[in-house]
Amino acid sequence: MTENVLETPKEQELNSAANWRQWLTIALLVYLLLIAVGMIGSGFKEAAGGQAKELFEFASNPITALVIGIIATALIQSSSTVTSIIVGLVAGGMPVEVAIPMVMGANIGTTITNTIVSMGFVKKGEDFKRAFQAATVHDFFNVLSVVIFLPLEIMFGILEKIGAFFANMMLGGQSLSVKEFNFLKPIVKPPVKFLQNTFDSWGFSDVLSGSVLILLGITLIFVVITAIGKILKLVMVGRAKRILHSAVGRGPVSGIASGTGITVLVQSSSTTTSLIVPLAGSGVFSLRQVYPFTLGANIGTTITALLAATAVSGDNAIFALQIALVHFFYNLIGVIVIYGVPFLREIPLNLAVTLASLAERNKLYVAAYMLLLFIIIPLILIGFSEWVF
Amino acid sequence: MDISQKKENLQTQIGELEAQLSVLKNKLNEVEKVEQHQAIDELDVHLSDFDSLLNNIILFTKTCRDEIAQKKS
Repeated sequence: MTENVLETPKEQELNSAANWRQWLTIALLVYLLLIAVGMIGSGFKEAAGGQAKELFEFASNPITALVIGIIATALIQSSSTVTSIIVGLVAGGMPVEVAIPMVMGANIGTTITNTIVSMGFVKKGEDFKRAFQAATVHDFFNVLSVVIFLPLEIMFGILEKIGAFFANMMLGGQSLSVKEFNFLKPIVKPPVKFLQNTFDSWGFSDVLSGSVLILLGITLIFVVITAIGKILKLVMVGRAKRILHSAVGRGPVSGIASGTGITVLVQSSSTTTSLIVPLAGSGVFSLRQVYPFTLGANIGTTITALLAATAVSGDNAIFALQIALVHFFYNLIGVIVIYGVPFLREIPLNLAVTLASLAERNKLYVAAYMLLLFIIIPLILIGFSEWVF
Repeated sequence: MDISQKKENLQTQIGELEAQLSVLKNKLNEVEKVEQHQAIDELDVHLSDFDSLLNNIILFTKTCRDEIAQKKS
């Protein structure tokens, strides 16, 4: 407020112009994101030529699919990127039942970022312990969520059914259909078609043309989401702070809501959960106070996949929307069930406190924990599942 | 003083202490809130931390090495 009062009219004009430029850039980047998802969908359809299901046979084992989601997200450090790519692949014909464990894995993989942020406190003793607790409570919550919901999904396909129900309601029905209002198709389809035609004119085979489209799409999603994250972090930091201010002293539901709100604004759960780390590390916010914020980040991050799904048209649009909705409901139900049941709510807290106490005494526990969570356990799980399934 | 009178006095004292405790807890909450608002205001300082993840890993690895060397010696 004070800053605005002190600004001269010339400075205000320059700031306003800069804001407009940033918002236009964000709009352009979102458009590119939609095109990238379209490219993956179309490329996959072209390359697979109706054999998509067979191509993903290797990931039909849910544990393998889960591990792919974990490792891909940990490497890229962005669940939004991975879930957008998954939406694109489903649009191209990847079965939804294969995509569901991948989305669950993306939730675990994304937790690596705030753990690395907490490492910045390693020289600060008690601060490190608190920062590491705040980072790992998110990890343990997401692992617990997979432990509860993946077996249920394998046995009953609950999330798949919920996603299908709402996707049908939104795209399939008569009165509630939004299909007729899909204004994105005319602006997303032409650039993808143009690229396909260009590759055809260069004499590319269907497989080569499709593969190049997929690779370009994945690269574009990665670049666009990184750029959106950077710009939104600058543009939205003021708003994010206002949301955080409004949640102070208002209890866990408000914490979850503000975590969701901030993540929607910055389009990155890692940014939200990483913002919390210094607040917890300094001891100003307790572990119990930051816990709901991190859960809100899980819900807020689903907006990117939902946005990506709007870019998909054609027969598979309904499945793309279904997987985006599965991602949303998985996170929403996970928060309601785990945070809602006192016994379950305490598990991530207790595990984070225990691990942080060990890590404070010996830092090698941190390295061992990260190796276990992101490499050793996934590999053991794959071996075990090959034997079981 | 009979036992019931003693009990009543103690209960009155407990009530007074509980009221004092509640006042102190409220004061602590207020101070905590002010501290939390200040910390949120200063959050910009940490934004660059997220862009230096590699530095964090290097710092962590170095600290681990130092700890191991210290234990050996």
